[in-house]
Amino acid sequence: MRVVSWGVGCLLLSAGLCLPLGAQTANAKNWPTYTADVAPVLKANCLSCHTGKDSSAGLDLTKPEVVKAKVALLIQRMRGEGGKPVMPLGFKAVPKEQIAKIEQWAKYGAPLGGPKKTHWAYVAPVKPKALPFTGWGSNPIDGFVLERLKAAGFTPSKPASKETLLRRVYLDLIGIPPTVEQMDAFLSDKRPDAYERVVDQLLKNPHYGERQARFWLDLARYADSNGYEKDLTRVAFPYRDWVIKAFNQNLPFDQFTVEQLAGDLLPNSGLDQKIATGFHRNSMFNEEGGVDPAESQFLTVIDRISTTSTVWMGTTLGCARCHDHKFDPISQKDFYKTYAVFSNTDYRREGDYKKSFSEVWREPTVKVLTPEVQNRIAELKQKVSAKEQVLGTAFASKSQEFEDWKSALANHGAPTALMPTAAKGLAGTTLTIHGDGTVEPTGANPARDVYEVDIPSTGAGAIGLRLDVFPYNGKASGRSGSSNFVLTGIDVLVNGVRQELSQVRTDYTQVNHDAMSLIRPGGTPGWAVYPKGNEPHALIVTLAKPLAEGKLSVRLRCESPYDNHNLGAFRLSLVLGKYPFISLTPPSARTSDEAAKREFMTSLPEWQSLQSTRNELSSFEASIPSALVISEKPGAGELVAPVHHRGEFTSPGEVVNAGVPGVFPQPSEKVNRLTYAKWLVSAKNPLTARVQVNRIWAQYFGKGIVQTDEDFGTQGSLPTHPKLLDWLATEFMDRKWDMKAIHKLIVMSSTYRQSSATTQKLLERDPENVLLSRGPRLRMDAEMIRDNALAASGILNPKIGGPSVMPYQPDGVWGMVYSSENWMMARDAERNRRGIYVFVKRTSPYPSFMAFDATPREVCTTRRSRTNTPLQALTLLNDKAYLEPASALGVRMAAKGVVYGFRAATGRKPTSAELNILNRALSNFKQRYANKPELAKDLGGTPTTAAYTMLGNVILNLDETITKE
Amino acid sequence: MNERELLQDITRRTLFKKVGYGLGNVALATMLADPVFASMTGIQKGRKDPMSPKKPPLKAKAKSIIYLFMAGAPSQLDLFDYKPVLNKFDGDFCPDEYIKGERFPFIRGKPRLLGSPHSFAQHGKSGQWMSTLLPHLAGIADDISVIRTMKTEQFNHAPAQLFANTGFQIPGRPSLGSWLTYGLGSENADLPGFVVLLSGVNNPDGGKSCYGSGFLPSVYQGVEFRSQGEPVLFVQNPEGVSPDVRRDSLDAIRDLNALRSKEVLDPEIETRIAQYELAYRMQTSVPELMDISKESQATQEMYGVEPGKKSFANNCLLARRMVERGVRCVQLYHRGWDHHGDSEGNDLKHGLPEMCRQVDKAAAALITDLKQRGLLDDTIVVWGGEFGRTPMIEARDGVKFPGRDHHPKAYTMFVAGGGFKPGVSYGKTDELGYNAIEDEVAVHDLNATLLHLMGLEHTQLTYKYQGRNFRLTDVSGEVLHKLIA
Repeated sequence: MRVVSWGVGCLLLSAGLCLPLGAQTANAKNWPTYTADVAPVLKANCLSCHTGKDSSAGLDLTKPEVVKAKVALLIQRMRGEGGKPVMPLGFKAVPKEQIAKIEQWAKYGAPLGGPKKTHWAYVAPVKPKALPFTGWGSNPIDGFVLERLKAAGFTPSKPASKETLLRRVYLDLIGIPPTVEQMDAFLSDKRPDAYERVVDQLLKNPHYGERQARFWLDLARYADSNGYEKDLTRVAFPYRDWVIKAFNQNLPFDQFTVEQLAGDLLPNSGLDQKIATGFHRNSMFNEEGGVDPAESQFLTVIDRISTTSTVWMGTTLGCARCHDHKFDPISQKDFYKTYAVFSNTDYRREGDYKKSFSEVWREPTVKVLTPEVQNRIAELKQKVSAKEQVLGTAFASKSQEFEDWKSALANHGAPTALMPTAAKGLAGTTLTIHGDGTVEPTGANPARDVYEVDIPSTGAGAIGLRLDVFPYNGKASGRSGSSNFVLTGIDVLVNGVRQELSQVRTDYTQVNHDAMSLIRPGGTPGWAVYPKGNEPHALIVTLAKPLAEGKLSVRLRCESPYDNHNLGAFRLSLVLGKYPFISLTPPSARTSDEAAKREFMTSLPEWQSLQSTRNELSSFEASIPSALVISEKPGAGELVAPVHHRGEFTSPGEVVNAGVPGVFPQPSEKVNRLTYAKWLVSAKNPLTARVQVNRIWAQYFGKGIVQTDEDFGTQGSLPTHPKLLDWLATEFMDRKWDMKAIHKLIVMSSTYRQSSATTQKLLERDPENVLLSRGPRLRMDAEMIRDNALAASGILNPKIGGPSVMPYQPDGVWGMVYSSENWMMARDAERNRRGIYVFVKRTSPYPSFMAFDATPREVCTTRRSRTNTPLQALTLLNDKAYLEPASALGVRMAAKGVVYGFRAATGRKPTSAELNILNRALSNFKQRYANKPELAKDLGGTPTTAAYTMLGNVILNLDETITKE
Repeated sequence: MNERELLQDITRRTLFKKVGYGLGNVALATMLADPVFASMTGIQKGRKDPMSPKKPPLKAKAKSIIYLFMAGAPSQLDLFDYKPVLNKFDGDFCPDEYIKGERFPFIRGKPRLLGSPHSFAQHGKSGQWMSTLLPHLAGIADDISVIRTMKTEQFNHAPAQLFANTGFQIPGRPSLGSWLTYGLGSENADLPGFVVLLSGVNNPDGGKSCYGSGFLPSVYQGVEFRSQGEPVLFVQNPEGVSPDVRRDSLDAIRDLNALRSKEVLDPEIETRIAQYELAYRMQTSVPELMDISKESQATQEMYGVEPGKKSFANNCLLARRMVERGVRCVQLYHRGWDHHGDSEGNDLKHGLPEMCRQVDKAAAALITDLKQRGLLDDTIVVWGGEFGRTPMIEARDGVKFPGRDHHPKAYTMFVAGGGFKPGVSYGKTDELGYNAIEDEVAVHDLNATLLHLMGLEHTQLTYKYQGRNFRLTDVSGEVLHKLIA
């Protein structure tokens, strides 16, 4: 594999085309310049002969351009290479390190001139003096903004209306709009600090964490699938929930950083710190057959390095993978020093690439055993042991019955198979009846099927049915690829009348499944047998009343969410006698009294009760997720890594020690992941605080003070308000990296509280609002559009955390290559969870989010684009996921009026002109649906409800509804 | 039909009646800006959206691209690259000098050579070698140019498809169609400029990232037109919303947005109003476009369409209808060429002929049809997969069905139209078809050439992201001037 990246070609070009513009830094030791490092050496050693018109060999080294052109020759001669004597002839040779410096100067393009000023972002910020903000302004932010406004001859806009401001600050801080009632309360609150009270409340609101996490998860490239060809589901949500919790608890940003990058290495690393390391487990992972695991690991570490440097330093370290950074003072060695920091993490191998076709490397996981989870387990375990005691007592009182049971066990024979006369798969499976009563499915194996079997006569008195499933004709008990089936229901009909079922028991049931779900709702549906699909299995179901004589039909339903999980060959037989489940008794019970006792107990009601608690315990334990974590490889010595020639994983070269890029102040401790993380958030680091406050600023104003928030290097844009940036960055550190404090400062500023309405003049002079002469007016991001619609219509499910959800998505959007995973639409209120919980499948991201510029989370993204397209219109108009809120908003309006609905969605009362339009639309809709009531039915209601649904649809489509004004 | 002809056609049929005045050039220009007129042609002048057409910086030979991506990687050795020597040594061990130090996804140990079970012949005046599996393409051998020395850098499906489509093996970079629409916009305002059509057993292995916009604004991502369900997601009104109800609601949305626009003067609102009207027009233009039953019986038969099915033939015909309407890039994916020989069906004797049956006729029909309509001159057609297949039998786990492993070093693609010379045999591989020995073509070279023909210089079409200028061809790529007419 040849890995290339921009700039490889650059080294092949002539040096002149490769000038490192502005690459010089304060660290002159690393970045030689002509005046500091070249000219003095020449002066001391060469100029006595090589000066002016009469220069020896015609080489005038007083002329910088001559030096530049001949530098290769100069170096050669100073070293005495190429069979020529060492220059200066007859004098002391030029010291080696001085020649090396000239060589380095040449390598970076031989720039002429002196040391340039260090790039602003590489000098640690110094707190600028606050400027007065009297007359206009609420805090120092405004002083800096006002200074620029004045200089440009602008004045600030008037404050936003109370309605606009409240909606803005709700959306910004918690991502959900205020309700009409919250709005009314605020409008009638005349206290001078009414706004600040709201801000303080919102900062404590648990939805604050969700809103902040939305941005962080883009940086963390959080997703629920691995990416690439297979793109299998991963359990990543414990990390996502950690992020939400961390924001809500206002974890200081330095701690927030260290826990995510090196939580496992902290002295008192607990569960939370381990889950936090999931940050770097969000890298993509290619499981395609034939992938070389060494390459896959290499790419993963590179993703981690690039992400780390972008997120914390606004620096593109990735360029230096293949060669020294073209523009910024980052060398290729710097890159591999960082590689050494991040590549010493633990993993285990599965398979062997050299021998077989798949080898994957698996990184560790940690069970999320929170104190609450542990308490619940203890509680259930206690319940189990109490019930065990009850069972023991019950058994003691039943010794006579036990004897009866044992003799029944000794005497019972093989069940007599029923001989069906007809059998068919309703969805297309071919069922063949064999002479011994075996029914064999062949041919098509539909996603879901129901086998229907007819038996002419039951023979009265049976108390249950036994179903045997077994490998047959070389095929397994289940027809899925994993030899499994999921039986989700059994219908027993006599003469067409459905019989009530009473109990069910199996010889074996797959972990996490519960066969009881066949007769009563609850539990994970269905009887399944993975991984034992290659063995015979049996299930007995009892009837509430003994069977009457008549024509018997049995329907075996395999209608689970799992495609193709249909039953293999099977046989049905009748169950007779006092102990219906006795035929499931394993043979050991006949020879061992202990085993017999254990089996007998299963027929007691106390056992049933015990069993259901045990099931509860085991399914609870199975539901505990495992978080993806990073941990350091134990026992490794010095952290080192080879520099990879041209960034190719197959070309390791010179070995370097773990470290940080040379241009920055160096850490005092030996560098590993932990000290690296601490170094990022040390006061010495010129970038981290600036980069983070800049991104926070961008959340509110749509763009950062440095607009290229991912690039603070020499190619990035300059800050529009440098003093403001440095003031915020230093304030952030002074306040011990308190993120909520920065959020509060911003939303309390007068700059933020300006009206976002503009004038023709402002539009002409400052169309992008760079000077901040007005408030921000921005289309919401994808998730917020959804949340706002759900909240306005009153159906938002406010539940925080847990597994990701799959709301409505049109059929056929997931077309997976090698996966039977399906989009399983969430039931009930789960589908109305906030956007942050919508399942992120990398190869097939949620379409309505993609229409609004969400990212597939393949790589770290610091800012999304904000487009305005017809596909967005189609999504909001026609996607069922938006029709449901429209209908709910309609219901609200039918009860509380049109004004209420408009306010719920936009935060303000409509003007009379607007109300006229809304009312006219409503009466048009009513008219149209009254004329065609069947159309209203299609929309799920009466002409009136349909008309209100469409009015809801209109309101949810307004520009203002999807805009933060 | 070019824009002018289209205008004249529509003018004749409807506009005289409608507007009742003569048409000078000025009137024409005015009408082009008229939304009513625009809604009939889909072509608007003076558009200001990100998709509005831009003049290419170089002289463009082509206006559109149809890329027939054969996902799974077809076997060049059984279709285009005729190797009698390989046939001769069928069953012998592959000489060490070829495979020393090589890595293969599935081949282990010492592999044996595998001759082609299919026979070859030369076709057309150009004498293009093709196997009997491609009778229809053989019939147009003089219209296409076959590149037998393609080389890629990836040998697993997902990374190789991403590499072919986006110039980089890791998801997250813009695809060819995204770069094209970013650089050139698209002629038809009522249709997306970059359309994706899927057929075959599966979707592309690289997923939607194969036609994603990466770090370019998402407006440039490929829009899937689906064979089943709604042709474009959410283009249909939901059940219970009739066209008149929709029009009422759009009127209300427009009027309310217009009032707000006056109030806050944000130009975004005006754009949104326009986008809602465009969405409304798409609700008509998309179903009209997708209705292939309007095509003549002869045309339908020529392609071998199967209306209502997810079929490559249907997609080829749709692709023609799209470029006719000014869509900039149509990317087809037909997955199913991964003939490893790991089972009887998935081999060169059964699986490969079946795939050829699905593709040969329709691909040939597309080129013929474009040519007959005069569209081939400014439409590029590209055919090929993400890599090729080994001259050795894979024999995974000792299975002996004839099949080949992934081979990135030399494989075949063909191009037609849009400024490419017709009937060229480009590049030469060695006797076993293992390596290129003459005129090797890297993926970046092909992509550079495609951009060049579209009027874009591949080193200049860049986008700055995370401090760096990115381009489709990363840091290499040479335009294949020898292939250009």
